[in-house]
Amino acid sequence: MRMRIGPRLATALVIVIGVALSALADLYFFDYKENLFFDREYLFAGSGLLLFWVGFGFVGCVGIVVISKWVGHAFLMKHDDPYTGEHVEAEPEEASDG
Amino acid sequence: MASFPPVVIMIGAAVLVALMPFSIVRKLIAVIAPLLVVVQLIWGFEAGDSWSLTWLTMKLEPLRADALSIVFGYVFAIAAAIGGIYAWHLNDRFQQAAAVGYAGTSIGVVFAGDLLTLVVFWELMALTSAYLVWAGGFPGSRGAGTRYLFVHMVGGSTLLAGVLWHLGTGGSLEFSAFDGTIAGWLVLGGFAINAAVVPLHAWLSDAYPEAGVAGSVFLSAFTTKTAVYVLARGFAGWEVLIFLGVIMALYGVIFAVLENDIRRLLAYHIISQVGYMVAGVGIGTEIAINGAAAHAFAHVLYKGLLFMGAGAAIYVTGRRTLTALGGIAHRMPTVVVLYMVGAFAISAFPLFSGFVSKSLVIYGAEKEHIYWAVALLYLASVGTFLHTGLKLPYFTWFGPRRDDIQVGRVPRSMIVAMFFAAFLCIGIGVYPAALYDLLPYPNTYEPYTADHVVRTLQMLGFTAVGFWLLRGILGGEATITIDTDWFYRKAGRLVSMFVQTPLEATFTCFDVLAGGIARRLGVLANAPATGWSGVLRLTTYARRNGPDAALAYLGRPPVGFALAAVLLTFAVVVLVAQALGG
Repeated sequence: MRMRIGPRLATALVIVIGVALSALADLYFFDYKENLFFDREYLFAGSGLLLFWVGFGFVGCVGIVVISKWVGHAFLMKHDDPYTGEHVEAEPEEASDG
Repeated sequence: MASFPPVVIMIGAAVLVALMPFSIVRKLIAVIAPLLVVVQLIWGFEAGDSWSLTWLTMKLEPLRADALSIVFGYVFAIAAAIGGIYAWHLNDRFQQAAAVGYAGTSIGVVFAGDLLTLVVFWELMALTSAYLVWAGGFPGSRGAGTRYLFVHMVGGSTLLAGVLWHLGTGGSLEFSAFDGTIAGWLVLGGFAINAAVVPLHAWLSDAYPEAGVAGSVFLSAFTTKTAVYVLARGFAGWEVLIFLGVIMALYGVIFAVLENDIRRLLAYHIISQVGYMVAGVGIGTEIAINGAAAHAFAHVLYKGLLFMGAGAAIYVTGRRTLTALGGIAHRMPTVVVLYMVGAFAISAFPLFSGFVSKSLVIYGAEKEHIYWAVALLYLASVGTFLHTGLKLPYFTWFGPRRDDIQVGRVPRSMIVAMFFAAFLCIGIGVYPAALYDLLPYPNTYEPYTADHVVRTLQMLGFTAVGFWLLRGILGGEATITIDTDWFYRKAGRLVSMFVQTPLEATFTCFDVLAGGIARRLGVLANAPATGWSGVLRLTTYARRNGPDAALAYLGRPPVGFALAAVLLTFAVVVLVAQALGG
């Protein structure tokens, strides 16, 4: 039996989750100013800045993808197998299990 | 249970599996034997236990139990049992035996108290694991297995050379910390190959995806982690390992972006995760060694779980690349959920095992004020979640539904094995003291601080945002990525062209020549039966019709031929030995 989520319930869920996240964000910003709830650990220069880890996650992700793709396309990724000379197919042969 | 080497149980089980004709009994042995080792470790072992014997005036110590070896012994035995359940669908006797033997020899390495025992189990580990690659059944399995064995034989030889040098310069046979002598560096080189330290790592991403789906689960658990163990015992505090470890952590992440094969992507993340452990060993403090051991323990479980999930997808679809998969989550929802437990664990989400183990390594770096390493290891965490937590599951299981993919039924044994691994990943994350109490040194680190949890969630949450924005360019591409194996694979072709082919031609010439002489001698050896006049007749006959025809002409079994061949070989060996000896 599949559970169906009606439009009213979905709207209610979105509101509840949105309010909860907003409350958490408010708490975070409030605490950043007042330092009431948690002892902040300053790991290295800049790591104590507001939303540092948000930026670290986002910029790190974008940086890894962009740099890797550039290096890959420029030097490492080959459409022909460098060892056999065969063209690499998009749909591989059926795999067998050992 | 008495303190005897647990490797005895595992090797005995491997032999039994190889000889056992009944499939169900083989499977039971493969699961029960490692569980017996767990029982032995719980009730029959204490730190300080040892078992030794004397062989050719050398005191060998196949069992030396201390806190470091016991923690690795536990996780290896648990992983072998879970792997045995996952491989329940297999009916390949020798692959099952190789898997049990591989786990057993890995356990043999972690309890080896002397260098000779270590080398023996190290080489056996390479042989048994190479068989798992060969038995993969994919078109590339045979070549990848041969390259794997070649690299590990080079690593084993380097290790043996280091050990012999160490002994030759007055070193002890006991396996303890090495110093910066030539012997020490040679041993480090041997260990570094098994640890997949960049640039000696390419065997891993080359071979693991070519093993069978069950074989790769075993492979993901043992070789690199035994290397972490021996590095922790022999090279703790070697600063070069911090640099190498951090490079590994980032290198694996960068190459995983480029990968299309789902298990090769996971293989690159083994390199990345082992990088944390190598860095921890390099830092060398009690906290960092605890971190390396804890992360190895957690890694064996969650990486096995990830390989099990990816293997299940390959098993039921027959496809192994991101470009060929997608849109099948609704056909295997349990596998997806269990895989995601492994993904959250490797990404170090709170309440999962990686959170309590990876942070211990980073905390070790932080306490030593190695902030560049802290920052770069956090960056590698971002990449880990990006690939194993987002990219791989998204392009393997999610996306638009695809009706062109035939999806079979996932064997129940696979689900059961994944469930056990997932249970342990969550259990360790929720109750880290269970793992921390096993660690070699007393541990006071508290992973669940509000700042740590919030920081991690922010970082990983916005990694997900980055993935969502870039998902259009993150899908697999039908390409082959060149890695450092390019050097020896290309060099191998040159060696084959300029060395192997002429050598083989030379040996073939000698073979034909020796064979001809032997057959002619064989004719003579049979000659007395026909009288000396027959010798001339036979020789003439042989010259005209060939020696084989002459033997047939005699109408007797060519006993003389075999005798002559043996005598000739013996004579050649004696002459060569005399020449070399003189």
